[in-house]
Amino acid sequence: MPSLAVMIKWPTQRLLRHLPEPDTIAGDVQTPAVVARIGMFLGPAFGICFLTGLISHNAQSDSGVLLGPRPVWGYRVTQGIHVATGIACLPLLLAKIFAAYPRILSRPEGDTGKKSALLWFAADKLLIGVLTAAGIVQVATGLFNVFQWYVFRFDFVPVHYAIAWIAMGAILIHVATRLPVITRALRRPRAAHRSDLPTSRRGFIGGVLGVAGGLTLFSIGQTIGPLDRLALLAPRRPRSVHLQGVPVNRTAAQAGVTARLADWSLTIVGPDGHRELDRAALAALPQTAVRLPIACVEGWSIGAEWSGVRIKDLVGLVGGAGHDVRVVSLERGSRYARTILPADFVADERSILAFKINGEVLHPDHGFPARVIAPNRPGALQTKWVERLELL
Amino acid sequence: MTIGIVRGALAVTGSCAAGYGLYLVLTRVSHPDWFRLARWGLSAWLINDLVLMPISLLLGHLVLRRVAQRRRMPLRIGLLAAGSLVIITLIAVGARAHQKNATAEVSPPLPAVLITGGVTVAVVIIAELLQRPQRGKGTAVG
Repeated sequence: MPSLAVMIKWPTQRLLRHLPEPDTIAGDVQTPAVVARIGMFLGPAFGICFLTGLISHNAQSDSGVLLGPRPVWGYRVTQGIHVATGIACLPLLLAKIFAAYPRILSRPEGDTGKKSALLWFAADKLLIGVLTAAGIVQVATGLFNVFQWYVFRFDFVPVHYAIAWIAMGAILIHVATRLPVITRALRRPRAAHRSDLPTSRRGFIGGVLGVAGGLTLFSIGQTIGPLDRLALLAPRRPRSVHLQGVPVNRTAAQAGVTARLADWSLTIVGPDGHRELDRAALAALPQTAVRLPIACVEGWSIGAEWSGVRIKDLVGLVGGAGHDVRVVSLERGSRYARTILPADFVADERSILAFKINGEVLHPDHGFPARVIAPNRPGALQTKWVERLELL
Repeated sequence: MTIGIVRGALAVTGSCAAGYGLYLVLTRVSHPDWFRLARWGLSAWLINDLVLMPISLLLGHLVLRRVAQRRRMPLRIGLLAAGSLVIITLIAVGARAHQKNATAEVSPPLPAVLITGGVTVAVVIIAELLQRPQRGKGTAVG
């Protein structure tokens, strides 16, 4: 009876004998130098996505500390960069995987009879598998999410956040294991490798960067106003959607609030008790108008003029100052139906409960009768259909 | 010595980050979502390694082998751009079909793909025309 080791080793060796070596199937752009150079762009791109993603995740957390109400454009910029870089990662990732793919047929280095060599080899293959899967899942689900097509059916926020850490960790370990190869590939004089190919390699790398740049150019207009007309690949071109000048991600019908808008009133709860205000009572309070951007986690953002009552004036009616405020929507069951507005946002003059947008009464899809608008907040936290403010 | 320290620091930092990610999966992601996530991860890996990349290699060997060296780069980049556009367009088409609320619809993908595809073709043709012919065909394709 042959031992287990022999039962594994014999067919493995037979298989390896019949598989081609990486170099025999590698094309002229599938070299370590190309892989390393594309990695020099893909790695930082993932890093930027990771850091801006951390900012966004933090901003959406009740205990988030990174964002304050200033600068008003802060979240708009970081989330715009997050989505633009994520889109640029698509061709970079495809090119990197393509350039490195022949290495899938690489053999264990050193003495293959040693268990340690085989273990290192298996661990490296596992790491590459995790890196590939995590990278593709992050870019793919990110794209699905910006188009708001939740085909993946899992809860996007915790999964995207967790896999971001795994992907970033796998990238760092991958760079650690490949660092000698990377430094060799980057230092090697190009002409000494294959005399007739540097042009094609440079062309390939330049072309990949061109495609990444092109995708960015055709989508970044959703964040940068003057480029709006070029934002053909952006899911929403803010300035070409005309529901009161601002796009809509979630409608009143989707939120299931339509039937409850007619008999709406606002309840405010604080240390001095509670107040219930209908629309007429709210209209009698001092009104203010602010110009603030609304910046969506899906990447689009646009400035608008919002009119309403300052949040700090509202909470002042129930003896509130220096408190966080829980904002409760008419919507039920959504992650964003109850949000926390931190005390520094409450105190800011520009944080208002808005009833109008660009001079018109809010459309139900924009949060009629009342929604929160505060500076430097993710759009998902600019709660629509607000029915209750609770001082904490 | 220095490179060893850098590698060690990268490996430790990476292990901590990946470990934290795994902890987040185990503690913040619901149990049913574990299986959905695993299905996506496995599918991504299998489709990439066993379908897309072998096809791209095969295309390289069957098609690029017959193409002059100077034309290979524009062809490769054109395919990469087309692949990226197809992925984005398919998602846009699916998203529009899925979205039942007119005010929340995403932009129509057809004009976008026609214009950006046209720009891609134009850039590839210009790049091909600007390339100076090179001697030698090279040994491998892909």
